[in-house]
Amino acid sequence: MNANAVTNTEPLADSVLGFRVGAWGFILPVSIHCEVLERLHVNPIPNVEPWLSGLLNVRGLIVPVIDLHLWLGMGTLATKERRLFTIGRGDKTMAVWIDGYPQLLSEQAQSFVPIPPVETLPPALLPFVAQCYSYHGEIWLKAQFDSLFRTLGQHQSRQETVS
Amino acid sequence: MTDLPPTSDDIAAVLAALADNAAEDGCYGFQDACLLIGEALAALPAEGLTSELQALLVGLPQVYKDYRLGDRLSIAGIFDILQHPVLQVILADDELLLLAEQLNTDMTALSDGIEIIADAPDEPALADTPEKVVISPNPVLSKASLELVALLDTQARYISGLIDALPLGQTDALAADLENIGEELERYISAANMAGFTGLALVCEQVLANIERFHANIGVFSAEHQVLLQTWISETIAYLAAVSDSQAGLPLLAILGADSWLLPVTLEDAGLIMAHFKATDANLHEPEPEIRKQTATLNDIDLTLPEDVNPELLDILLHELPLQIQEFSSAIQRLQTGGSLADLEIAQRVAHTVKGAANTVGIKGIAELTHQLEDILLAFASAQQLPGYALLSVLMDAADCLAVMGESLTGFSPPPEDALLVLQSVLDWANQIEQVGVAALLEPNDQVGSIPPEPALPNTDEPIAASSSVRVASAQLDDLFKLADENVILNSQANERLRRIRAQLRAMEAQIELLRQLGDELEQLVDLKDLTGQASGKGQADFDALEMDQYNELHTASRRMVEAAFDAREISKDASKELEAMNEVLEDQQRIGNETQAVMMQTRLLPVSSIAQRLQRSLRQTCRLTQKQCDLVLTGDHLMVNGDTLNSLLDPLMHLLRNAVDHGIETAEQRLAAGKNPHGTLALHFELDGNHIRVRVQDDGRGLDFAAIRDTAIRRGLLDSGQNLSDKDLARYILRPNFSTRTVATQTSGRGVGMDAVHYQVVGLGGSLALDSVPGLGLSVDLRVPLPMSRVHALLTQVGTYKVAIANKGVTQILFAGAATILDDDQGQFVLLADERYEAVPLSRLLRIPERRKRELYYRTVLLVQHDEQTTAVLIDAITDSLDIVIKSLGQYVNKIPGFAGAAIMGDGTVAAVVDLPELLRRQYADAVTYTELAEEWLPETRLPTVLLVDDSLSQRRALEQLLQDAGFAVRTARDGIEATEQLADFKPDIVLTDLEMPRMNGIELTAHIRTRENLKTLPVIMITSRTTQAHRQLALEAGIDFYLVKPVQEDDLLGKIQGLLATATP
Repeated sequence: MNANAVTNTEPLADSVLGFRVGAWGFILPVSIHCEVLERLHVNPIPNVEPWLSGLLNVRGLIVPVIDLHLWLGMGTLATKERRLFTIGRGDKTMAVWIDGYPQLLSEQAQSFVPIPPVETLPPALLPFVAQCYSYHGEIWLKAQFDSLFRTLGQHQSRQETVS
Repeated sequence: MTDLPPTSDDIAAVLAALADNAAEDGCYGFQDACLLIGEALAALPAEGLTSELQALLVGLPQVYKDYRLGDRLSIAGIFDILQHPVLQVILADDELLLLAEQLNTDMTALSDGIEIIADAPDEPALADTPEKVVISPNPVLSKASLELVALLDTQARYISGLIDALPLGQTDALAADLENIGEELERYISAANMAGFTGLALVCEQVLANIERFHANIGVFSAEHQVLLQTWISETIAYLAAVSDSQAGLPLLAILGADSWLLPVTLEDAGLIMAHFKATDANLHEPEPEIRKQTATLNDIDLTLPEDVNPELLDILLHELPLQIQEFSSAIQRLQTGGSLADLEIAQRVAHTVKGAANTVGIKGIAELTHQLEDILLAFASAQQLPGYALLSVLMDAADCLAVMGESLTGFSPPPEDALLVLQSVLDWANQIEQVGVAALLEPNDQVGSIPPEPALPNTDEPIAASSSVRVASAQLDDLFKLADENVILNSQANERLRRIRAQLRAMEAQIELLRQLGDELEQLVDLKDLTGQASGKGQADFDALEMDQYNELHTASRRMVEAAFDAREISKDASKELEAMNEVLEDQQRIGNETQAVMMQTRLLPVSSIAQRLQRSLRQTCRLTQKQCDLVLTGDHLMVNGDTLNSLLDPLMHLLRNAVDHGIETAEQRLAAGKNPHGTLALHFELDGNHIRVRVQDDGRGLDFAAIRDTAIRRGLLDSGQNLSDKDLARYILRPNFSTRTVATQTSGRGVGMDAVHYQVVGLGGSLALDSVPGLGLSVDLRVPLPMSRVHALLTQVGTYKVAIANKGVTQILFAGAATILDDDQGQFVLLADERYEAVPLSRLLRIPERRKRELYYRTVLLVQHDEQTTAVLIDAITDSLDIVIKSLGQYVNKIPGFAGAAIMGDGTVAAVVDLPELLRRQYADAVTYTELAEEWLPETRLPTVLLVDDSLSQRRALEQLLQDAGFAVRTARDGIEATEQLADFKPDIVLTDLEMPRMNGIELTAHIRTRENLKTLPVIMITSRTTQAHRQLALEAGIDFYLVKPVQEDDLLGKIQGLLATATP
């Protein structure tokens, strides 16, 4: 995806799942396999970027946890409110921290208005956002999580400081 | 003359009548000719009519008669008149050609309905003309070819006339005429080429070269040369007459060798021309229209696999077949219960696909049956009708038959018994449809009238079960079942023991309670005794204390207590025994667990020899491309290795082999000069090393050019000119990205896939690469790759706040501080052991975990780790546990974190990252910048040239994909034109390979689409199809195809063409 990808204005399909990470809402098609995890221990890994929070043991499967908020440079979410949310299945499963619970936004799909890219959109996120929507004054993003996770997966080890 | 010569008016009248006749007969060409002649005649002054011309004109009606009878020679007769110098018919050259074409076409149209008697030997009229060669319509040559031959013949005669009319002796006029002939010949050559007569064209080119030479040295040209030219042109005409004869080109070729030519043909060219004559011969023959067989034979239902069957394609077929047949059956079922045209189309498409796949692999039985099915379904589809009940049940039988055939291929069930019967009934239906057409077969209760076409169903996705699957021997599965059973039994035994131990524990509790009670009693009694002791007095004085035991309550109480204590110990011993027994059960269970895991892993193992064939093929191809000769020697190929690892090794190994041939092995001459065998040797050795696999690729070529490496390194600023490095260290420079000592890309190495790519891939697998080279003797590349899903032994330790597992990879010794000493000197910390000095580094530093330690707190455990021929001491605090773990990957996205082998799940459910010490140490000591560069910027896919492969047949896609990948291309595929255009919207490949006929958008439409896009229009496109006719080729060329290749495609030819196109492509 390139930065010019945010050009077509498609209306939303009927059923979508939405979740919020700080100020940003993300939309997922209902067909994607996802799960909310309660009270699962996150095992940290040494010497990786701080936004790679650690690893989860989800029924025998090892799932990495990404702190999107931290990655976007906005600090971590309030620990009390945040939950673990996995996206994908099998060895393509990734987990992110989300605010509160995800919501099913089926009936209101029509009220999502496609808008051009917002200026406040963090530049790191821009290449992965296919479309922005406005809904009751909130910004919701339709993102390409596959490309996002792929890119994050390649940059997880902390940069060496050149002596 | 006895007769009065006919007047011009008479002749004109005859011409007019002829023209009308011709028009009535539909011979418009002839009519035109007559009209033209008539006009020219009218313009001629009366004296101009020579007797010769007169005679010709008088003969015109006879010429027309001949023409009507299909005598192609008559056309020449017409042209004799048209081109007669006296008549001066005004015709431009292209008009002449058009007219000739028209005459030919008309004659062909005529001859369709008329019996050809031209070759009947007893025709007296024609027997008088022995020197005129009759072009007998050959039933084997196609109509199209015949037309072309006639055209070329006419033109040849025209040229012949020109040659005859050469004015010898008049230099200027001669030169001008020769030039004219040259121009005619040029046109002739392009006509011949377009018609596919490449051999003839080459001959003419040779003659043209000579004519030009003559023109330059006009004084040389003599009557002898004229004769030569005449002989040549008459031989050409003779060739055209006998063009279907395989020896046809020989006399023509022989003429070229005559000494009188200024430029006689060379032996090489002659050979080339000969080859082309042979090829032309093949091209002319139209594929025979298939005559459908009437009777099914045993051969037609044969399911035996050909000996040279490609195992991978067979695998794919076996995998896809059941799913395809299922789809087919479902479609037929839907048709039976009132389906639509869409279902018909699905069934037809599936039949087509299965037929193609079966043909590719070589299974006659399936191919034949599906071929007939496809024809039937096609007939109905084009007639837009649905088959009736009777036919549908035959189709259903056929579907079932196919299903049984498919199953029998796996070897588990016998082939269908009714195959012959089913094929026969299908054949009968097919023949019937061919004879009477679809409409006649409709049964009364069918829906008559066209059904409104429904929108085509979306392209059926590739079968969902496309996830990789593995074949497991049933013996292994039996083992696994047994192990699982035993596991359950052991588990219940363990439970039983546990129950017993619980009971023991309860008994123990009761006993302790009893002891406690007894203790209380004793206490009370002692207290009482104390109080009342003195009061009892000396009652019985007969016996003293030693002679008779005095039992009182105190004794009883204490005795009981001792007994209770003894009992408690017994219970405790029993409990211990139970625990022992339980331990044994658990050990058994662990053993079963290990065995189960081992058997499971065995199912994923493949012998190394399974990739040997592909390696061999790739090597042979590279050798052909570079024109070097090499032998491949494989050792250790009996080794059983995890299937995934083997597949991921395939790419790097092929790169290494290609590099070895391209850069390492010298040409045969160079090798001979160096005293080596002209055949290069590539030795590939496989062996197991713990839970790693080691592969050594060794060539006996020229080895690394250390001087060049040094220079390039200095040039790129990676090395100071004063620095002195060992060969070993210098060698490692070639692993850096974009490092190449070559300034010019050669054909195979032009792809730029060098050692850096191989290194990247190997490191990505968690492995390592070592180089060893001796100049002049060769290069040896050592790969070491870990086997996944392996159980390794690991040590658990705490580093800062992190709990990590350290894999035993590379660990040669574990020491506890005390046996070795950790010392400090100006070079840093080190460990001294048996007079050896090992550099020491704490694990916390390697993992960049900040630690606040008191200076006095020393590391209690030292691990000696070997990495890249160096041993370092890694310091940790303590080993909290030592256990076997299974290293798991972190998923597809976070595939590899540098320094870690993966992660493992501990007994308590937590996840520990598994540290790879040698890798950590390597990163520590190597140039840090290089490695981040390596990991982040170098993406091999972006540097490999990309091919977009478009074909609706899965087996064809897979076969070509494998070929192209082995040759070093990145391949993307699409199933039809629409998918291809969708992909092209996102990325631009370097070249497109497409099939012709595909659903939704065919190859021609796709190419047209590509040529209209600004950013794509220069994209090279090659079409690969089974269609051989000129019409298709023409259509494709007009759409903008660069090359048109006919299946089956020669691999070398395809690769060569691709390389050629890429080399000249505009970026």
